[in-house]
Amino acid sequence: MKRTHLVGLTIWTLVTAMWAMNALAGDGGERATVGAPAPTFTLEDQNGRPVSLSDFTGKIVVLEWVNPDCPFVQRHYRAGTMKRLAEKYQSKGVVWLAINSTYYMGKEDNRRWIEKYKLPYPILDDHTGRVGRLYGAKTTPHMFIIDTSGKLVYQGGIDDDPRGAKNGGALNYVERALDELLAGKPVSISQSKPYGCSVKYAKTSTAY
Amino acid sequence: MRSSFAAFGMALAFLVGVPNERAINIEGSMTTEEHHLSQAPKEHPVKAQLLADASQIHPGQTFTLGVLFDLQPGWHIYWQNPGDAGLATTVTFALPEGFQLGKLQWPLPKKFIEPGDIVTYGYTNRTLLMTTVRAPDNLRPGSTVELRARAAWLCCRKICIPGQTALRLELPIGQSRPSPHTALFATWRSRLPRPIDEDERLRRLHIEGGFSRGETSTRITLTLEWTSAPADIEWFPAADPALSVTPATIRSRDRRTEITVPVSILPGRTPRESFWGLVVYRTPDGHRRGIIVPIHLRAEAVSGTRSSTKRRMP
Repeated sequence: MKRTHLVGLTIWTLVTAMWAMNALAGDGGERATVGAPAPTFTLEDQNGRPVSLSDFTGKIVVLEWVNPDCPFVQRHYRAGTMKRLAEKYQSKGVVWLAINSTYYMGKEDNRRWIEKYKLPYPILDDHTGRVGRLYGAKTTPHMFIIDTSGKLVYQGGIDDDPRGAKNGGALNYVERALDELLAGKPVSISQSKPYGCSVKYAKTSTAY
Repeated sequence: MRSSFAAFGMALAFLVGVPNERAINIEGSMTTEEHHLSQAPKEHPVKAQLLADASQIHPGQTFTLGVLFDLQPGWHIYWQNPGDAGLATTVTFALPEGFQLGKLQWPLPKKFIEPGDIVTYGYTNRTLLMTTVRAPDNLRPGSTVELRARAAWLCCRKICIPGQTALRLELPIGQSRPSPHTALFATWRSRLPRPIDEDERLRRLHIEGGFSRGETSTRITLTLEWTSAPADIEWFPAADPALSVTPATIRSRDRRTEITVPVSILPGRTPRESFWGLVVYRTPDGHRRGIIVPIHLRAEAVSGTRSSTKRRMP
């Protein structure tokens, strides 16, 4: 009887604490949703420099979830998919940020990947998975586009070719969405099913 | 803050002694060293073989052909709907002229829940993807036929590795003769999902919901009535590139189960008229059984609901 009470009390305390912490969480609890403001975040780049989404207010921002160990990512990097797009649109004021939420990777892995492919954009360290979970990033790659007003306008795959079998005939959703945004048009395909490896998240992230 | 919440949840689950994830957690099966081993293993973790349930075939005979996948511990490959991540396994057969090929049949998948609410479907250890084949009548006894298949898969543990192989099998023509793999085929055949009519426990199925004109999101509710209450009920939706199917809620009470499936049409896409999923349960003697449930996606103009008794289903 006594033990039951003790367990009950412990559970009650924990539930209350969870409720209180969640209530206090504020903006941290807002999941990214297409059509709604993109959740803000600050992460460190490969050199330990903090990068915030709010640094790019008024600009179109592309977020790319990356994991150098994933064969889908490797295929796109060998083909230069991400680098080509980033370079093409950087000159038009589009900001490209890659984010690595792989729990066992850090700045060193990100730096090596940048050097290997001479990337013109940073890779942000999210090994705790906080930002990945906030955006609901499921796969590598998983792409998100934020418009100049800070609204999330696309989430999904890089293209419609999970097997890499279309030999240049794939529809690149990000390229299409960026062209539409730069032409002042709404994004016609605002969501697609992302494909790739699952994001290798930490089981629980208590590191912050 | 979110994760503090999760951490508390874990602590809570630990205290009351309830596993916080019923399904298999892939990450949970690994050792600490492997967490920091980024390279691919020396040996590919999946082996595939082309097998038949006959060692010699008679002209006009129907037999079963399958690709047996053997996986190293901890690795998994994917079902025809891989789920949130991964890639469906593919098997394509190339048979000599006159051979008739059936549809590829997939044994009941398992559900994997990874950190970050990533849900995928697939197989661990071993699976047999099979198809029925009818040999032509004009085969010459004493000759041999060469059957070919190409299999491709993505296998994942901590990392994912793609694999593919070209397989071949030669079978002599003559008297019909079972192969040493006949029992293996029988085992895997018993693990295939069945049509509604062939399930012994399902008494009645009622499906409600679907897209009304102009609607892009809906809830489809399956109500299943059983002759006796099954355990461990699971739902596996089929893949459809035009749809976003979020996790279903499953409520069971006595001999009645209600499965609610939120479905939405992805922007700019047109889904097919019908969709399907598997309802999987466990029998008292521990066997998993699966039922193929076809679902019409359009709500009917008049009532907006449909009712199907078991007998009336195709």
